[in-house]
Amino acid sequence: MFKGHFGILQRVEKALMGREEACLSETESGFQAASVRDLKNDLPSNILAALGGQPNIAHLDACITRLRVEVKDKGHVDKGRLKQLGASGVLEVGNNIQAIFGTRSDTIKSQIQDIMSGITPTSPPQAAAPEAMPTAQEEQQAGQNGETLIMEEIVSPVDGELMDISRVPDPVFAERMTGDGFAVLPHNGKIVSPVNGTVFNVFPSKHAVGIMSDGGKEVLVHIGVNTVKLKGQGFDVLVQEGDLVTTGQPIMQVDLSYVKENAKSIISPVIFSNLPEGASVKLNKTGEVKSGEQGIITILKP
Amino acid sequence: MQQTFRIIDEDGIHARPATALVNTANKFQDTNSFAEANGKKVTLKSILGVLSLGLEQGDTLTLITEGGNESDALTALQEVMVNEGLGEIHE
Repeated sequence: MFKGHFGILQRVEKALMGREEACLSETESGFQAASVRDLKNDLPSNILAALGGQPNIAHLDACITRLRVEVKDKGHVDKGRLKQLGASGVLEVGNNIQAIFGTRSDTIKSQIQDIMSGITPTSPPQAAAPEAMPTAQEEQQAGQNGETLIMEEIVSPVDGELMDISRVPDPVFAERMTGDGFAVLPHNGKIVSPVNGTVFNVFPSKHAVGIMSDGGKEVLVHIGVNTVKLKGQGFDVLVQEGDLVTTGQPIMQVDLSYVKENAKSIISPVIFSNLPEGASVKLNKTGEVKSGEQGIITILKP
Repeated sequence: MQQTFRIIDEDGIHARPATALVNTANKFQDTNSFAEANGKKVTLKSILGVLSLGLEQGDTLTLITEGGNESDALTALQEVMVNEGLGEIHE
């Protein structure tokens, strides 16, 4: 799979072997259901309990790196317990909870759904139990170190025009010196997060935000070219360092007409500054995009 | 080895100079390079890390190189600071 990913692969193999052995001993001791599990120690059961139990769940969903739950009473959600269980972060917006469990989030969602339907949860045969998969923190660290490429959602940060990074009138970005990425020409001043992640830093001159995605990618959202010269005028940043953000969440409001008048260009690069050696960004389309639009780019593995 | 600078660029350290520093540090594979400012120390391998120091004109920045070709690395980084007009040596 990925270079240097052997530690994680070994653990997955071990987990699969462990399950096979358990199945063998069960059939030896007489007929039993295929996977009788000790539900008290099961990760999905424990997560469900930390969410306030089945009666508290209004709607259960997941994206690539996060479990997303609408609860009836957020007072019954134990955020500390969710983190103990492996969530690298928990974001609460009203009665909507997002718990970052990494790429096993979808498996966990399915298993919780099974539990709520009264079915003994099973993992698909070719996958490992979520307990044996890397934690969200391990995945993010591996992504950050360039050891692996987590395929996660990347959406358009603006209503505007999507174009190749080479169209940015600044060689530092156009020649990919800071990293590969894409460029957008915003049609209005609302800027949203292109990824699920954590705000890593807000530039003192407010014209750019650095985000660490759940999958460990460093994402630089940089509005315009040479806009550092505006010394913050025309920019209103809506988040601060350490905030968890979601794809499509507003992170900045820009006075576009002011910036257009006073800066060299409003063509805005979005850069992934720590992709593994040889990885690249491919545009899936050019031209008009809507804020939050999915599937605009693909990151190609080395 | 280390050297402290005072930031003279009126724009502080933003995307362009941060890229130059990081790319230079990465040329010295055997050397670990760090940037330290305002009580925060980050690796010079990450652009986002350098940018997160939030350096502005008048701030002091210490560049640290350890191991390998640490002397050449520090000299190269110092050249970037001076040639890009980022900073001057702070005694």
